[in-house]
Amino acid sequence: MLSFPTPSVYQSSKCFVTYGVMGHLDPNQPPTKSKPWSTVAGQDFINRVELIIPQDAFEVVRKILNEKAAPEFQRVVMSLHDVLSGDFFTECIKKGNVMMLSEGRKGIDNVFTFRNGILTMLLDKEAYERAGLVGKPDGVKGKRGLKPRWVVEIDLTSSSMVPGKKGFDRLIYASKNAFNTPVTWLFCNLSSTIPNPDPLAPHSPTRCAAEPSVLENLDAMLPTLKPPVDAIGPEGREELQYFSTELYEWLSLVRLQSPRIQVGDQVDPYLCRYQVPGDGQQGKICKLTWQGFLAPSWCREILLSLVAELPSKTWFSFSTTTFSKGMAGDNSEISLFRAQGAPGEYLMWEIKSHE
Amino acid sequence: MSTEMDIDPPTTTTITTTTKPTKSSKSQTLTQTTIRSPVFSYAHLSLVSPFLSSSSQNTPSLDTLTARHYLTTALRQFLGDTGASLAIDMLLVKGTECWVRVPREDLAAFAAAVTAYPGQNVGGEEQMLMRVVGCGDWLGALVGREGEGRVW
Repeated sequence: MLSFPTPSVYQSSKCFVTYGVMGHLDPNQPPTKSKPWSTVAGQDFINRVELIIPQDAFEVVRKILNEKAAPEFQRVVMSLHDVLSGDFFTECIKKGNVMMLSEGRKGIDNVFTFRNGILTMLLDKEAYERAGLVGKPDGVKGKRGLKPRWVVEIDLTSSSMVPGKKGFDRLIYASKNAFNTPVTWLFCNLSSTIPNPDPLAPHSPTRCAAEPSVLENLDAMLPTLKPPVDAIGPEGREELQYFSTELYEWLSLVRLQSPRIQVGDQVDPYLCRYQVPGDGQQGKICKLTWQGFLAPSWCREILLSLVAELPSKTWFSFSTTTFSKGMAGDNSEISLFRAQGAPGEYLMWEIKSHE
Repeated sequence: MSTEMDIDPPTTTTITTTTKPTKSSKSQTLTQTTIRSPVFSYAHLSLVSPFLSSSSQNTPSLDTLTARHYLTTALRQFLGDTGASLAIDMLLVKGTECWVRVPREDLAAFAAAVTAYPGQNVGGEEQMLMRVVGCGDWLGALVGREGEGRVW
């Protein structure tokens, strides 16, 4: 085929596949440092979570979800200066455990994030120069046609980040002179306590609860739900790649709600030659989707509950997608699939976009 | 970009072995692999019309055959017979949007053809154009991006 330039909206990415076994779960000491738990919790801001289960597992899932409140987040309009001052700064930033994301397309607009105590400012050249803060170049060097951008990272929990100290005062100065326009933020409180009075209240936040949307009783053509035995070992690499790519595609088609995986789909091969891999098994499945400003720690909690409470032979798939990172809307995703009838065995796909 | 971190080496080991995994209380990684060039790529397309009024009464809703026809026309116009014979799998057609699968090496040409397509006359005046909303090698990540704007 003739060669063409890569489309500008092309999300170029590679997929890192792990085939592993989850260890025994001790409910008193839930795992945090091992895969896949650390991978799921290590993401930044989650926009979308999707769970696919066999229909007969729905009751257990419903019970799990009823025991927890739907994840909450808030939408609020504040200037960067508001974030850095008063009770909000003291209670939420310094003492609290919150995450925040400001509106804007990364790579085009000036965007701020706050996570794990670090304020990150993604700025264009003019804003960076006006701010007068110390930062690093952001993005791939030499990207043709794109203006250079800058990233500034500041640990706001540091003891040097208080009014009166030079570094902090410089930041306050920048927030007043370069970033005094209020912007929309998404805010999520990761701790179980809210300071009283709520320092967010004067900014009239909109509270949102991410309730899942549920699609039940989908009659689906099922793929093989367990990796092939010879996928392990150096000779099994191709086998694993093939199997995991096909399974990931099937799970994606379920998430897309494509008719191609549904029982009875009789599309003309001229229009589509997709075939569900496997031996023609059918089954009823259920899909739950959450969308919002979700914490990776919540994702890990849900995953832990699923693994602990669903019967060990039940398969399921759990995928978490982050907010877009760049101009092409690059986002990253972790999908996990627990195999059927093979206790603890899982496949995990980590899709990260090339920067 | 980021590298995979083994934070807790004693309990996460990489084993390449041909034995079946045995019951163990520890987490284990049996094998890992990186997929850089999968066989297929995916595209999310949207049918738009710059002349459409907000009442949208004239927006055609696509069916699979019509959508495929627009794509064939666009590809033939841009790439001749080679383009027209490009393998496209229609995964979903809904409202004015469609999702397709193409061989990975053909994605760039496909997207260029769709973008270059000057439009299709529908019912007289209006010009229907197809726009690539997004494309990539991993369908789930494309699907996962949907609706992000709604949160704001």
